[in-house]
Parts: sequence; C-alpha cells; structure tokens
Amino acid sequence: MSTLSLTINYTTTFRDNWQLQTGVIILFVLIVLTIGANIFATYDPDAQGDLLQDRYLSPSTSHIFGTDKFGRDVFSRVLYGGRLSLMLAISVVVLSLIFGLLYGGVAAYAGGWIDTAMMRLLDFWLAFPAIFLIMTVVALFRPSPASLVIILSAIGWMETARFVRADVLTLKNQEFIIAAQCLGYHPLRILLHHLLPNCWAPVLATAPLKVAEMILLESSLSFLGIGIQPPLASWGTIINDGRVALFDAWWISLFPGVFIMLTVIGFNFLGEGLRRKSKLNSR
Amino acid sequence: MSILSVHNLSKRYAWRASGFKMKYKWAVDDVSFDIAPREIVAIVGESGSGKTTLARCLLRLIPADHGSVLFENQDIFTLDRSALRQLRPSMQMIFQHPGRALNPRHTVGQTLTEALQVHRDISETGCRAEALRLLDRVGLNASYWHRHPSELSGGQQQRVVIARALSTQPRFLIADEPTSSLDAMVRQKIMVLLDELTKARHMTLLIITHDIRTASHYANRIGVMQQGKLIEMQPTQELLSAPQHEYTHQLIAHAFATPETIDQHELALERETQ
Repeated sequence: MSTLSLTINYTTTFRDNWQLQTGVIILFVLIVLTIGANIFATYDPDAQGDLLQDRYLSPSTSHIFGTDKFGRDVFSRVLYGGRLSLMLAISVVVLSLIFGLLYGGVAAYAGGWIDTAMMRLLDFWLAFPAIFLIMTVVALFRPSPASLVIILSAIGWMETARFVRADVLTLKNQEFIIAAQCLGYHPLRILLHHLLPNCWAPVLATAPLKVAEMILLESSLSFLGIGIQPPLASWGTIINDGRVALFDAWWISLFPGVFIMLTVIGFNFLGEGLRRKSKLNSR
Repeated sequence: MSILSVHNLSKRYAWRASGFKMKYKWAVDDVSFDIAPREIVAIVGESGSGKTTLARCLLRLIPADHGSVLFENQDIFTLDRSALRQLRPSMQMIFQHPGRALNPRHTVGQTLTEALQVHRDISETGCRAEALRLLDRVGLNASYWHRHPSELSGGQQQRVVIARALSTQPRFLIADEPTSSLDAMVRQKIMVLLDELTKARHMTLLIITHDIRTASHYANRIGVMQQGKLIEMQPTQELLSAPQHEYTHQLIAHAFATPETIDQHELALERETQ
C-alpha cells in the first residue's frame, strides 16, 4: 500500500513539474543522439573530404550542418564532439561530488582542529585563480580528456564540500547519530551510512546545474585551445574551428553553439525541476 | 558489587556572556551514586535539571568535565576509542524522541540488522532471523520490516528503538524519558514492556524521567535531581514515605495530589513563608 501511494505521489509531481519534463525531454534527445553517434552520424567525423570540392559546404541535404575547412561533416562532428563533451562534464561532476561529499563530511564530523585545517585548506584552494591553474597544468602536460577531467574536478569540488559540511554539522547532533555512536558503530560507518545519505539529496539536486557549468567551462577552454586538442572533436573545438571563417561559414560555429545552449538549458531545467521536486517531497 | 558507579561527576556548559568573559552553568554538579546489578533505578527531576546530560555523560556520549564513571569496574572515561566501541554494546540507551533516534532513511529491518551485523558474529540469514525475533519480542510483527520510521506511530518507533538497543545484548540500559513524547495509552505499554524485558534479560535499568509516579511504580530506588545536583537517593518506599528534602516533598505532593490537596499544600507553604 505504501509503495502505491509513493508512486502516485511521484507521478503527480512529475506531471505538474514542467521544468523537470522539459529538462528530461531535451536531455533524452541529446543523449540518445550523442551516445548513438555511430548510428546517427552520416560521415566519419575525422574523415577529410576532397579539399577542392568539399570545403565549407553550406548546409544541404547531404551535409545537414555543412562542412568545415577540411571538408569534414559538421553534423557528425557535433554528435561525436557532444559525446566527449557530455561524458567529460558528467565525469567531472561525479568525481567532484564524491570528493566534495567526503571532504565536507569528514571535516564536519571530525570537528575540532581537523575541521579548521581542512576548511582553511579549502579556502586557500578557493582563492587560487582556477584559470591560471588550468593553464599551468596544460603547459606542463599535454591536455588529454583524462587530464582535463582531473583538473576540472580539482576546481569543482569546493562548493559541494562547504554545502555538505554545513549539513553534516547540523545533522551530527541529531539523536539518531548519537544513537549510532551509542551502538558503538565505527565513525566511518556513521559518516557513510547515517550522515551522508541524509544530506546528499540537496547536493544531488545541484548536480545538473554543475554539469551545465562544466560543459560551458570545457567548451570555453577548448575554444581557447587549452582544453580538448584537435583533431579530437568537442563542442568547444568545433566552434574554434569555425572562428576563422565565421562570416563565410557561420554554420560551423553556430550548430555546436546551439547544442551547447540546448544542453545547458536542459540540465538547468532538470536541476530546477529536481530542486522543486525535493522541496515538494520534503514538505 | 555495583555494575555502575559514579563518582563526583560534573559537566558544565559554557556560553560567552559579554565580551571575552565566559560564563558556565553546571548541568551536572558533583553527582555520585552506585547501581547494583539487576536494579531498576530512576532519576527524577524537572526539565533543565540535568537529567539528560547526566545520562549522556554516563555513557560518554558527551565528555564530562570532572569525576569518573566505572562500568563493571572499568573507568569508561579513560578508555581509548576502540576499547570504548567494544564496550558500547553492553550499555545501551532508549531515547526521548524515538522518531529522531532512528535514521529516517533506514527501514526497520535495516536498522535492526545493522546493529546485529556490527556486533554479533552471525550470518546474514541469522541476522534476519534474530532481528525478526527481536521485533516479535517488542510486539511488532514481520509486516513492519520494510517500513520507514515516518510510517510508524510514536509507540511503534519506540518499540523499534528498544529492539535495536536489545540487539547488542546490553547488561545496562538507560531509558531517557522513554515515554514523555508518547500518548498516555501507549506510555504504560512501553513502560510495562521495558520493565518486563529488564527482568527477563537480567538487565540493569536506569530510568530518567520527570514523572515521579512512573518512577515509583517501576524503580527500586529513586534519585532526585535539582539544578544539576543529586539532592537525595533512596529506596522508593522510603523516599515516598519520608522524603529528606523539601523539594522531593513538593514533587511527591504534586504528583500524587488531587486538586484539593494541592490547595492545602500551597496554603501550608504560604503560611510557612509568612
């Protein structure tokens, strides 16, 4: 009986929640398109066409988003690039959320000088200008998708950690935590089984917004040439490819730009919808 | 021989008054007493008298400032963390707000099996069977297994809390206002259950309560706390018939009073003061 009432509750809130619906629909289409890039893409994204005939072709039925200066099909590149951009952004968010949850949770639950030391370290990290950090790392190591994930995670966890710390600080004096201590549970068990599960719902609701943020950040970095490196396609690099011929071949930059915009809007709607849903449920 | 022996226990809370000067309030002030095995002792006092703080200090759930607590001749304040964790199963606590004492995300089944898995060396199926036995013992059937605390009534929640406390096979149990957040109907049932279990399992019970009537009904001995001090502690009958302290006298008079006797008592008090 209880399960039934829960599902009814869930579907009605989903039905009333237009932000959640819009977000889910946009993202579903985008994710299907990019994950199924092998199926939907009409050309090999890296295959160069005939340099005389196929360069800068405007959108037509054979190349629906046109071609770039090497005669590569922009539509295929946008799909494959989207796969990389999305996967990168999502892994960055997953990594930084996990790290932020653990960092904030440990600091708050340990308390005392450990908490102070950990939070001052966080402040120091937060005060460090992220763009210089990225440029330094890129100058030292050749940027690859994996190293980008690590750098972007390293600058994305602090907000989550602060958020979680504040939540755990209020939770740790609740009676069920005192009860868990009284039962002689290990502090790690209390943290992982009792404290964090009770504060990660609002944190998870921020995840879509962070994905949107990371997609924008990765695209900007790739556009500046310090993110994903050619010939790998990501939305940022494709926009960068089109920069040299922006007025003659507007389609190269426009379409990945539209895809970035749609993705960000999709994730923002999803985030807003989730936030509303968790608010409704907690009432 | 005593199972728990408390010597000069004190706990103070600090708050910053004006500027840098710290002000302290002694929540527990120089409290000493002993509890014999299988005894049921009650600590009675009004809210703010330091009962809950005392209970939490006894189990070292919060650090005390002075004094010592010997549990089975072991000073629990000097134990290191892992030794304390080893000792925890033998002394358990029932909480005032059962709804807050249960993890809202865990079902009844998860709550009980977790406690069993951590402390008892039994298999998963064994844990389940034992947890069901415990549930049955506190008067809940298997249909509660998949429920979350929010789907239970206050009395049912308290039964789950009791079952969880029993799962570690404690020898000493503190019940901190176990019934004060429950309905009158449920109150007595929970107290009877606690009393029964204590006797059946040869446990020692310390009841913390503001209600001297409940205390006198179940406890062998009653201690009275006022502003952090344990002003007296006597066997129940003696305390009721011949309270040493004026405050105890008032407590008893009010608890067992009919409206007329209260008036008389207050008249008498007024006459005394005049």
